[in-house]
Amino acid sequence: MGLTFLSPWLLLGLSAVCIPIILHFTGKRRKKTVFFPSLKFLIEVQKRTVRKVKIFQILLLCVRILCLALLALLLARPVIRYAGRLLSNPGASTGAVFVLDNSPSLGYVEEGTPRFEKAKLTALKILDTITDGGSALLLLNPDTLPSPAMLNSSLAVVRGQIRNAALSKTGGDPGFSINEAFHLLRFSPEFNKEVFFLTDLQRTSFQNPVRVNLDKGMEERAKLYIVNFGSPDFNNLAVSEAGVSPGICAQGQDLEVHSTISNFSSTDRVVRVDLYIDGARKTEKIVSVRGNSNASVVFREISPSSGIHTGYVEIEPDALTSDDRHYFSFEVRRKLEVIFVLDDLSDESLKSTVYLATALNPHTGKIHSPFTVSFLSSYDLERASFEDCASVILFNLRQLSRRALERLSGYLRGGGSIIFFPGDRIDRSYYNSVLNKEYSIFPARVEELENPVQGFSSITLVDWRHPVFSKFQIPDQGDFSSAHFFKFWRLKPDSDSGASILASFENGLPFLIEKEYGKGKVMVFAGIPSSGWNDFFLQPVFVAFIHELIHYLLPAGTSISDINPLRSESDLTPVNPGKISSYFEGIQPVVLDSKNPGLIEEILLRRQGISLRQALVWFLLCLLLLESIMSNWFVSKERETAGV
Amino acid sequence: MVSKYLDPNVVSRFSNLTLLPRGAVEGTVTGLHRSPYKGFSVEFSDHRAYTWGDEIRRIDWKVYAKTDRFYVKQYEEETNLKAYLLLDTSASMGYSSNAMTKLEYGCYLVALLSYILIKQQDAVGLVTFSDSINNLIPPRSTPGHLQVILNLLQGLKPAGKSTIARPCHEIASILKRRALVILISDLLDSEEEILSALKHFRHNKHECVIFHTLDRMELDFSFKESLTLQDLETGEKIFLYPHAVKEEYCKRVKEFIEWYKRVCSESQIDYVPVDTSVSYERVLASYLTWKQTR
Repeated sequence: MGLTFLSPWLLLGLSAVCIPIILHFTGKRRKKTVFFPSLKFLIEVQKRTVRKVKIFQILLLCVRILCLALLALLLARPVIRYAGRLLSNPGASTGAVFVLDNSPSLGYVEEGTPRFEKAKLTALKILDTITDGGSALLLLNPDTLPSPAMLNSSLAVVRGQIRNAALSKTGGDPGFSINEAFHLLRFSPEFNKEVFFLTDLQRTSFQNPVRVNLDKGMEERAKLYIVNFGSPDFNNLAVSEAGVSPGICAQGQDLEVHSTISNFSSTDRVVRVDLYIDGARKTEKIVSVRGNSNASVVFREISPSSGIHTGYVEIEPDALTSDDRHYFSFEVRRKLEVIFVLDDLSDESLKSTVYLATALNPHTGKIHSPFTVSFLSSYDLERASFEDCASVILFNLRQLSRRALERLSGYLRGGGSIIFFPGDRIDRSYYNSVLNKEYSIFPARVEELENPVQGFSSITLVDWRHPVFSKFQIPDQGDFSSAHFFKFWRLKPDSDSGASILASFENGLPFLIEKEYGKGKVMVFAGIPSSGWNDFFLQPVFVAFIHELIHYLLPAGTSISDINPLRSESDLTPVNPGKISSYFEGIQPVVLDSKNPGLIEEILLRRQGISLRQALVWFLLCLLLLESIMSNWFVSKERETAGV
Repeated sequence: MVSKYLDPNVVSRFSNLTLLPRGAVEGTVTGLHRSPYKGFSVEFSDHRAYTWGDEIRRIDWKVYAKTDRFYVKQYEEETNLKAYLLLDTSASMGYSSNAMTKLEYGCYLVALLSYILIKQQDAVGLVTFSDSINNLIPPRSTPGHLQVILNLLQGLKPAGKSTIARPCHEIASILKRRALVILISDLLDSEEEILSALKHFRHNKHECVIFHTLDRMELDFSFKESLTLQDLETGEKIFLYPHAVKEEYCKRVKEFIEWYKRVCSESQIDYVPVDTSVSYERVLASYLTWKQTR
């Protein structure tokens, strides 16, 4: 036990006790002297009465000094250090920060009430226990309010903030919020410094240990309470993914909406899944999802009119409704045009592209390709429109004008794509100095032409994880190794340009290189699909590969991930409350169950100190009353004498 | 007669009033007052047996015819009055809580009394004193004597310590014949000693009147705030809170006045308590009226 002051600097107010003392003595000195003849009647009386009045005045002075001293003490907020609870003492003043987890998972409805509302009610109950001029603050995790500078001494304001708190769309970092709370408490003068983290203890939120840095002197009085609203017994189905593949498609073509339904509970569930596009319900499917697993649902629809469209996949509402719907968007264009850029549009030049152009658009009635093909000379490129362009193929192009290069560069940065097919017409020095070095559009140095000693080379190394090749990984879906490459350019990718080799020959030389440029992509082949160079264009896999490549290069659809809840918010599995302490360093948290009826009592039991404020206030009031009575009596006596 | 202490308007209002002593007084000339001496006079007093040496002409022959014994007629002699006005000029008489000090008030009384007495052909003398006799004007009844008294009054200043008894004793020992002694003072001295001096006067058969002049502030002590009081005579200072001492002070002053009333009554002395806030004419008029009605 010991006495301490929460605002010790206010003890300077004790110097105010000099004021009545000074007034007492200077006031006496100012009394006037009057000549009087009949002192013989006064001397004895005066000796007796003056002594009495002096004693009275000294008493009055003492009362006034005591009043001022008490006021200074009161402002300095004295507290007796005492660990634990003494009788009904509610503890000394408390500064509390409520870190309210308002991540979407708290929207889980349990016994007819969302966990978030329960957390708010509990926070309000705890707030009601803060008396004696304490202060409080609400921090939302994730925080959607401006970062506060200090605790609020108006508890009514904090009460209002708690009542008005709303769920967020994203998850937060509890470590950051808790550290922020203790940082703010550092400036709080209150004796007890408490942080209440009201959360569902979602396992996914506690991936990293939380390191709490407490200032010196705070360790004894700082407490972290974790009030748990989570439970391992829950049922939740979520639409964890939904999207159109690809993000851009041609008008009237089929589009596929891929969605994933995740079951986060252990029991198998059967659920109806609905597809909505532009607000209109298109179709539904009944899906069975096994416990703790996912189910894929694919919807096929005819793409609507050109433009950007939005849609969502929805399941029947369950206890956590925030993850029952997943939004997506996609773009529909009138056509998907692949532009071939050649040195000139002579027959010879056009003839060299025939295999590739035919692969993209076979021109037969039975095969319907989403792509159309057009040809431009390098000169026309300067004025070309890329509005419906799926990709630009620079086919055996010698050089480009500066203006054309600038247009291509802008097209790439805006999300377009370029595929280089270098043939025997290219100007190596131009490619290396201008395209590679100056514009960085070409991601490799072109060295000499490679003529394999054994007559041909084959593709032996492929990055099967890459979307372009992933579909061909399964046996009998396509064979790249059967193609013979009689000659090809020896390409040396730039080590620091971010270029990656997607496929290469047996001698390690690259067959296909990819590089991202702005929002767009650049693909570089080692040669052209033409006789004399290779027989790749004769392989069955060629057409499919080219189509996959162009699909891959199509610009991604508009992202609307910010309105979809994080997948991690759907998994409500809590951390074992018994092990929660292991996630914290620097402080030992007190884990309380929200369902515990004695929760408030447990908090009160841990509060420390005995506040002298109330006792001092009463004492001061009594003294002020006494001072008022004494001075009024004195003044009334004086007035009575003066005949007022 | 020109003096600030004698206002013609006031004087005119007192033209019908006289000051008559309680008993007989000894005088040298015929006046308004009864004389203790029996002799040739117009008013018969008594008979007494004839003795050797009595004048033959004073024998009442009618009584002799009836009783066959010699009796001599005795007559009351009407004579003039010798009045001594004793004015206290000690420093305490200089106190005033309003426009007029107690001394000034006393001077007004002296002037008016002198005028009344001289007008009724009585001799008036004036003694001013503080701790001793400062001035002594022997009694005269001539009209010019009033100017002498007024001139003295004009130059009086309050000074010295109140020692009333000693000058009174001195005066008492000087007076040979019965006289009227009028003391004007605040009596702020030892009560017992003053009483002794007054008894001295009474022992010598003098008629005594006391005008006990006190200021209004001395009577009700109506100071409004705490203050330091300094004694006018001793210079002693005391700090006090009026509200704390007022009750006790007033009680003591009342006792003081009541004591004088009682002892003066016992000694057949006229005691007139005077509040200087009340007009001196009214005080004197009421006293003289009261005196005449007795």
